[in-house]
Amino acid sequence: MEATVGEQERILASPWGGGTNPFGTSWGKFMMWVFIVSDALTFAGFIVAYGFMRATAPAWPAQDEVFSMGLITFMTFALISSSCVMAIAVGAAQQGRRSEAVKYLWLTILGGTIFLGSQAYEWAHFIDEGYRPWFNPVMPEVPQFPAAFYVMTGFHGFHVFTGLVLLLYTVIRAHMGKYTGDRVEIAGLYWHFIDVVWVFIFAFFYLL
Amino acid sequence: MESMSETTHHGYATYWRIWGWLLGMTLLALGVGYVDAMPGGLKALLLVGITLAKVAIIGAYYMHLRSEKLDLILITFTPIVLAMILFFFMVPDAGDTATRIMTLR
Repeated sequence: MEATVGEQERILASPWGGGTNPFGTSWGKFMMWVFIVSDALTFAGFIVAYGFMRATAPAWPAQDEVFSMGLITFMTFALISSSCVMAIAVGAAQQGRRSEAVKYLWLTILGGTIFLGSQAYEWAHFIDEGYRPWFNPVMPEVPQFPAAFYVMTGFHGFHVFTGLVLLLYTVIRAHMGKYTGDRVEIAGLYWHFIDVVWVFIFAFFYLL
Repeated sequence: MESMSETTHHGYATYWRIWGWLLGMTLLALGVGYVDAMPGGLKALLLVGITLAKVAIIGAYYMHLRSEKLDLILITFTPIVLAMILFFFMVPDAGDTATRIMTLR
């Protein structure tokens, strides 16, 4: 027993300094952070590949002539707002106010659903106009444009969908009283990450 | 109890304030995107700056990185650092390819 205590003291006194919990978080929260870092690398690859394709393309369509920027701004508004109410839901859950946490979780789900619905509408419109991942009907010499659009917004949209599934699971558990502030925070981290990815896509794909 | 409600109120007010900042920066980015007279390099620089500022405040306030240990905060920088390495390693090749395409045409 004494040896164990001595071992703990030795680890805690090391430069690493965290002992058995170096990052000061629960294992679930830390694993979500590890996942976010690896997933961010995936999106970083997409964005760098997009930059490369765009730099080598002979031309690039004006985004405001192809997309409804009003709709894109509205989608951004919906996602940022859902991130804000998600942060409030996490705060309420951590302080044990279940009904408030549930209310704000539902509002987050509403924001995410509005975003996903708007994206489905945007995709339907884009497909109707003849854009395919390998074909650009307006500028046939730049098939990279629809390819980048479908890959980046498609992967992001799938993340929004899985985020909504995670939030639904979390809110149902919260309704049943089977939840902890930590679990709601883990779902929240994923949701905010989706918001972060959209911030990059919004600026680099739609505005630049 | 009183201090808890104060904390709660203060926390929520902060979240709404951050929401306002994020919306403001989104509109600013939209404005920058629409200014045709602005040189491309400056536009890119401004958009990257606004984007990184938005990401930083989402991370700090909504994802609570402000109150996390430094070890965890440093881990979250890895994708940005690696993406920059990837970007700066590919830029020269993109330039060469663009030049070749322009020359051929």
